[in-house]
Amino acid sequence: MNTDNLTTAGEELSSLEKVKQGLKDIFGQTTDLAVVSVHVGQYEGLLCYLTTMTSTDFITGKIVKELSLSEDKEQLSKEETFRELEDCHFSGLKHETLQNMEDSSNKMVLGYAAIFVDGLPLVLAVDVRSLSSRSVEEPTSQNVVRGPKEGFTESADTNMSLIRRRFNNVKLRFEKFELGYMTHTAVYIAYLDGEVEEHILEQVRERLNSAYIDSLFDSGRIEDLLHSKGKSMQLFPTICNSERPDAVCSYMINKRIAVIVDGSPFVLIVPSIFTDFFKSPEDEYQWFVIGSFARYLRYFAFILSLIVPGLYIAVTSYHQELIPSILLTSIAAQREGIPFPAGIEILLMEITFEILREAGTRMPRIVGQTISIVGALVLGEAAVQAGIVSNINVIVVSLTAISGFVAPIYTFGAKVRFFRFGMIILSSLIGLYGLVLGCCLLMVQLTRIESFGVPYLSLFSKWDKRRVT
Amino acid sequence: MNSLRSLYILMLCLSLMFMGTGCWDQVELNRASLITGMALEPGQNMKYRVTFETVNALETDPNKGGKGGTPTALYTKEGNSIAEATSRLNESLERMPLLAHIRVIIIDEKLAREGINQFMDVLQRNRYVREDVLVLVAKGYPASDFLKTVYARGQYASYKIQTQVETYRQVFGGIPRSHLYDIAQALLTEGRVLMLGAITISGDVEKSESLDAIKTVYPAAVVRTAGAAVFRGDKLIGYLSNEQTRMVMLASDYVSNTLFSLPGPGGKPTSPGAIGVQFYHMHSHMHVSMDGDKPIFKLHVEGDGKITSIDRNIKLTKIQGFNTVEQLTSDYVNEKMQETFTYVQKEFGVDVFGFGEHYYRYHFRKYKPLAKEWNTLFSRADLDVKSDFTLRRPDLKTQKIEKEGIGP
Repeated sequence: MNTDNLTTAGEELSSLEKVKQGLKDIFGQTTDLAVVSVHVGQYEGLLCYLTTMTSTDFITGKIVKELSLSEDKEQLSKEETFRELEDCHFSGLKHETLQNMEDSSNKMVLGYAAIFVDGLPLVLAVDVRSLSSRSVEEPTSQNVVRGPKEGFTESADTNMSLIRRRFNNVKLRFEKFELGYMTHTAVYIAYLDGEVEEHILEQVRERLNSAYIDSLFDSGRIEDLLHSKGKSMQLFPTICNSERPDAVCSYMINKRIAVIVDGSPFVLIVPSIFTDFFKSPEDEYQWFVIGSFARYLRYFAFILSLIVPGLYIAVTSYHQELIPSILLTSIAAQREGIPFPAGIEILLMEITFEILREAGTRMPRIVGQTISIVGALVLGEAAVQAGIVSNINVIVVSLTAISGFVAPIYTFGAKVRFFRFGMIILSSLIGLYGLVLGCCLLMVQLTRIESFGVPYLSLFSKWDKRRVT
Repeated sequence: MNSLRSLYILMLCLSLMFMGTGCWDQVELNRASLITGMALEPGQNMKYRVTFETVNALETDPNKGGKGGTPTALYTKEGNSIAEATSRLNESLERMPLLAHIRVIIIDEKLAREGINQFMDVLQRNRYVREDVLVLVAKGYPASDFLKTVYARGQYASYKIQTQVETYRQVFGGIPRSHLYDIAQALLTEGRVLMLGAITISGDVEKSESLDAIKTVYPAAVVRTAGAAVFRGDKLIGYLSNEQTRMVMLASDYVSNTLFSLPGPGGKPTSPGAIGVQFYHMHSHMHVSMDGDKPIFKLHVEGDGKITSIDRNIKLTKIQGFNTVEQLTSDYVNEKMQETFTYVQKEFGVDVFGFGEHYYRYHFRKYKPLAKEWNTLFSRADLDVKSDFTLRRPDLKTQKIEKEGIGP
């Protein structure tokens, strides 16, 4: 195929008619293809671009104007005209010289305009990409009270510029990759040259190059691809994400690599360790005591959300001797007349809460009020009044629910919520022993997983030379 | 493939574990009943008669208030051992008994006179009976009567008794430490005999069984602390009053907060001009030596406190005033301590103070030959009490409010 292309290269560009025919073969009936006859210097030419990738203002202001200026010049050969165009008229724009139809069409898909000159086997591709995108707004899922209010957008160009303007440093590097054999989505990695460890960088490059997926619409999709392969499953996320440029930059200072996916406002951070999921950029913007306090509070909430329902079940149905008598009589009084055992009761409310949360996330904004009324009043109050669940159960479920959302990285909280169900089942079957067993299993998992050769619990564990990959 | 297989095996093992043994010891809270108190009495047909206090949790809930029922229900069972009586509890009770929350174990006087060792083992052996449960002796009333006295706070009787005893010990010191582990400790210790707290009832027990009894301002019957029950070996031999118990506990350095009411110039506590002094840090040190075959005990008591009331006018603006009161306190405590000591020597002839224990710990070789006859030696010993009290503040007034008087 390749050799075919080379031999026919001159053939398909030999006349404008053939170019038109070639474009029609490639793009078919698509309506956003613009093929405009223009004068290039003294010769006939064609200007081809996709109207959906650019704006009329840009084409008329930058391309057509320059082309008409080139007409007034003295007589030049086709070759010279082409060079003139390349070096003078479009030197300010990103451009490339191509030699065949396939390359040109691939460029046009990316937002280039192709300029053909009658009888010349060269194509000038000029970057005319000008797309409307969401303006930079406040992040929606990772908020701070004090700190920059900018958040990443769906446009990778904007995102890169948000990072670059924070790093006025020649060492900042962006590298481009293309993923998705159907969508050709641009993926960039950003890092500080000399700061990051070369072997990690190499691994990231290799995994991005070897990724084989059909499409890529959000960075969440490539988290799995970036995970360490060949190891057993990982229960905890080993790739952190952020939609805050300041957070990403602060990670990059700490020798991390950012992965930016075009079309996704969530930038991935590799490698990530356990402690990263409890950091909020705000911790560094305020007095360190308050920052540390908030961070410890998050660890505490993480433990709470993991074990409180399990602990409640284990203690009330297996180990009543562990609770102070007065508290126990109070709990017993509330449990009086509840038809279900504690385990079923908790599961019931936890699942109800998950349904509420899911409904709250998915529902249209306008019906938001309805959900909160039905959720809080009907399910909370009425279930207690009707004697289906006890008051203390509602307290336990709400405490864990709130604690589950304290983690600044939403994906981490989501996984913890999932483990909680395991803890509930374990402790309702074998009591406190099950709870401890569950914690041990999680601990085993935590200590053995790693992210790009960096042990997941690095900050808590001792450095082990043998683990370095 | 390999990891998948090991995952299957793991899941199989886990499911076996859960299905084979899961839930075996589960006791759902609304199918269980808390046992909060136990009263031990000699039985009529069998050896023991045990009364259990079970909580009706709904009635103790302060928020819901219950339906006006009693907070507790008592069940009495007889058995040839306490364990038997316990396991026969479900002849009358529908729920699983939870023993872990027993607050007090009340021993009947008759049982105590026969000796408590015979049934202590089951309490100490059982993993659900806590080591810090209170063991008290019922003075003058059958043990089960104490669980029958309801009180106005809505909680169960044994909770009231436990809190009352602990608080009384902290505030006044008039009852010995009588937890389950204190018994084990006292029975195993050389040179000190067992003392347990004693409680009694004032009022009419018959009326007090009904909730109507607490609908009046003045409860029909109230459980009251009654000092200490003194044991020789494991057998009850007599009682000490609250004040005597306080002196004994003070000598053994277990009192830290108490109040002395010093008699006025008449020499009696009722005579006018009395002074009240409260102490919040108290310490005592013992010293034991032998003079031939007669032990000499030296006791040094010290304390920090304040003046709470003065009936006659002593000027506290000068240090002289404080010195006077301190001296009065010292004299009073020395006298009372000496009185208590003589009383114990004469009435019981057993070392409740722990002088023998002190001698055993500090002069083991000298104590060893005397161990058998220590109580006899104790009966003829001499006590020398020294006390050193410091009054830190006169509270809000330095002087009793009084007209100074004008003119000659």
